[in-house]
Parts: sequence; C-alpha cells; structure tokens
Amino acid sequence: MTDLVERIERNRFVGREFLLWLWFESETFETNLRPAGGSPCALWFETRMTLSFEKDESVLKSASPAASPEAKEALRQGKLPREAKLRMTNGEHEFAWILRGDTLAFASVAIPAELKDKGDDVHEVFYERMRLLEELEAILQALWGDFLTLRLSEAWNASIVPMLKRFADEKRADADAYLQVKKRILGKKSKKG
Amino acid sequence: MRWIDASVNAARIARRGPARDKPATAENLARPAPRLYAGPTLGAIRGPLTYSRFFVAGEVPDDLAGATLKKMRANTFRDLDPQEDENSRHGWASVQDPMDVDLDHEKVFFNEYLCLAMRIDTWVVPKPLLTAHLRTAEAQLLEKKGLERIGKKARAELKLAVLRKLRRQLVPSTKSIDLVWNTRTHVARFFSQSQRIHLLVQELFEKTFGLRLVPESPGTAAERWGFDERLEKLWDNLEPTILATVEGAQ
Repeated sequence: MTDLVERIERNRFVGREFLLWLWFESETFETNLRPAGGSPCALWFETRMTLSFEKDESVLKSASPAASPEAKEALRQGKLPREAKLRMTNGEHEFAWILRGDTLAFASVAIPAELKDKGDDVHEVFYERMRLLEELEAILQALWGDFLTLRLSEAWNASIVPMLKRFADEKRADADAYLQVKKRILGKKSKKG
Repeated sequence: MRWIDASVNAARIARRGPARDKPATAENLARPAPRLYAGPTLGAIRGPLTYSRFFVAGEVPDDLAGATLKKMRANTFRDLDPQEDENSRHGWASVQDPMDVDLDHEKVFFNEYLCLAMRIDTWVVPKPLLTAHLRTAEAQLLEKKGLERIGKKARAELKLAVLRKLRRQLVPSTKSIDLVWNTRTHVARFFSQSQRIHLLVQELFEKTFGLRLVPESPGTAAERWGFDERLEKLWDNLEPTILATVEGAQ
C-alpha cells in the first residue's frame, strides 16, 4: 500500500506544469493544438484560474484570465496553475470544464449532449454522456502524452523552460522555434496549428 | 421507507433548528425531520459531471457478471438501524434509483460499462434537538436518583440512549454517488471528488470485486502512459520547473 501511495503522490507538481504547458501551447498557437496522437482541437482558458505556490494563491476571474498581466505576474512569483476552466472544440463538439492539476480531476464538465434525461431512453442518455466524456478524455490523454514526452526530454530544461520564462515575462514565444523543438522530440506528427 | 424530496427545507432545519416562532423545547424539537435527500443527482445519467478517474488494477474475470453479481448483492446497501451504534452506512444501489438495492444484471451492466451507485446514509441529529433532550433526560435522572450531578460515564450512556430515542423519530440523510467502470478500458469514473468518500468506495470496490481502484494522479497517469527503464529513472528524479524571478518574488 505504501508503494501505491508513493506512486500516487510522487511528482504531483507535474499536473500543475501540465496546465502551464496547455496555457503556453494555447497562447503560442493561438488556441489551435495538434496533439501527436489525437485529433486537432481548439483549446483556451476562460473565466476562472487559480495559481498557487504553497499556501499563496491568486484566484483570477475574468473573461480571459490567462491573458491578464496578473496571471503572468503570478508565474513570475513562482506560482503555477492549480486549476483552470478550459474550453475546447473538437470538430463540431464543444466542451467546457475545470481541470484540477493536482489530481487531474474533471469538474463541472459541460458536454454537447443532445439527449435529455427526461423524455429520452435512459440507456441512450447514459451512452451519449459516456461517449462524449471519453472523447474529451482521449484528447486530453493525447496532450498529456505529448507533454510528458517533452517534460522527460533533455529539451525541457534546455529549450522549453527558457521559452516558458519568456512567456511568464509577457513576451511572445517564438512559435517556430518551439515547433522545431516539438518536431525533434515528438516526431513529424507535430504540426503548426 | 418514507422520504420527502425537500432537501432545501431539510437542510435549513438541520442547520438552524426549528422555526424561530416556536420555543426550542424538547417537544417542539422532536418533530420528525424530513429525509435529507435530493434525489439521484450525482453522475452518470443526470446531473453535473464532476468526477475523479480511477484505474482498475488486477485480473478482471472473463465472465464478470457471473463472477461478481453475487458479491455485488452481498455488498448492497442495508438500512441503518436506530438501535445500532453505527452513525453512517454505505453500500451499493442501483444508479437509476438509489432506493433500489435489489441489483440484477440489467440494472448494473450497460454494455461494456458496469454501473453502481454507492449509497451513504447518515444519522443527522440536529444539535439543538440533542441538547434539549439531553437536558431533560439529565434532569429526570437526577430527580429519580436523588443526585446533584451526573458522572462522565453515566452522561455518555445517557447521551447514547437519547440519541437512539431521537433516531427512532428521524430518518437518515441519504446521498448516492455513481461509479461507472468501463470494463474494456479499465477506467472507472466516480462522481465525487471528496477524498473521504474516495476511501469508502475504494474499500467497498476491493471488497466486492477483489480488484483495486487506483486513483488518477499525475504519478499514476504518467505510469499508465508507459515508462521504460530510462523514462522511469527520469521520472523518479524529476525536479519542479521554476519560473520565479527575483523581481517577481519581491
């Protein structure tokens, strides 16, 4: 059991770094993300974002909190996103949800369900809800795979962290340079959005 | 079993005690409170989609239904008994109706999904009600025994007796949380993010299926993504990314 607890607890901070990376990708590629192992999507941060370092928290609420100077200032103070409200479109499907970095848990997920609890067959309602959740999770899973590949590569500290620092400093990231790094690490599947 | 779908009012009563225009006597407080139950709203079929992911670890039997239905039925929810000391009890129920604990194949298996609700009933005795009844019972005991004060042990026993008496006049609060296990992908979604309730469902799941529910975390998600020896070593030695600047820290 101790081993399992250790596996669960180890490197929890990586969940917050995943949120940071999603934010960086979304801003660098103007919301158009292309996970190597999944379908292209548009993803952006909206309405609510919490950045933390130990017990020090910045809760930002606005139409686009990730674009606010306070969000970047929080990064420069050493805080990372603990949770954020995200919106994503995948083809005609649009999802919105809160992603919690420490647990990778989903809260208040809005799915483009067409069937309703009342009036439609309960089994069909259930299958539609699960199918849409799995669609959302599959894209997140593909993005997580890309992130981990980059995070565990030598390029993270050598190339990506300096770009993230520029990003925190409110300077526009060099999308082409970043894409070159991604291509080298993830392979040719990485394309500009 | 009687229950009233009036959770808002019930929650108000539980929080504030009785209406203010009536004195808080034991008699006034002893009216039965409605069940604190808002209907089956958490999860898989209806309601907000807030959940935590788990990964089911262990060997899943080929004939899952045949192998486990009996165990599921053995771990279904049993009503709380006012005479017993247990303050709370949990067990499996149907996702379509948490009051239905007569589980069968049709209620549990939805193609590749195994769906159960974990129902939790808890006695919620409003504190003002308990205090008022305890005060009356203490006064009666003192008078009966001709004493001036009650010892610690006698007071604890009296409190338990009062609690049992009050429970007979109340109905427990009920909540139910859905668990959906995709038996093909081994991913289970549990529609609560409370760590305390996670421990309950993990224990109940392991007792029922003999399989472990491993909570999703960055660590377990990374492990499932797939490590070779080199990546595992890198993962074990990972240091946090620091973007803080001297100016930012100031």
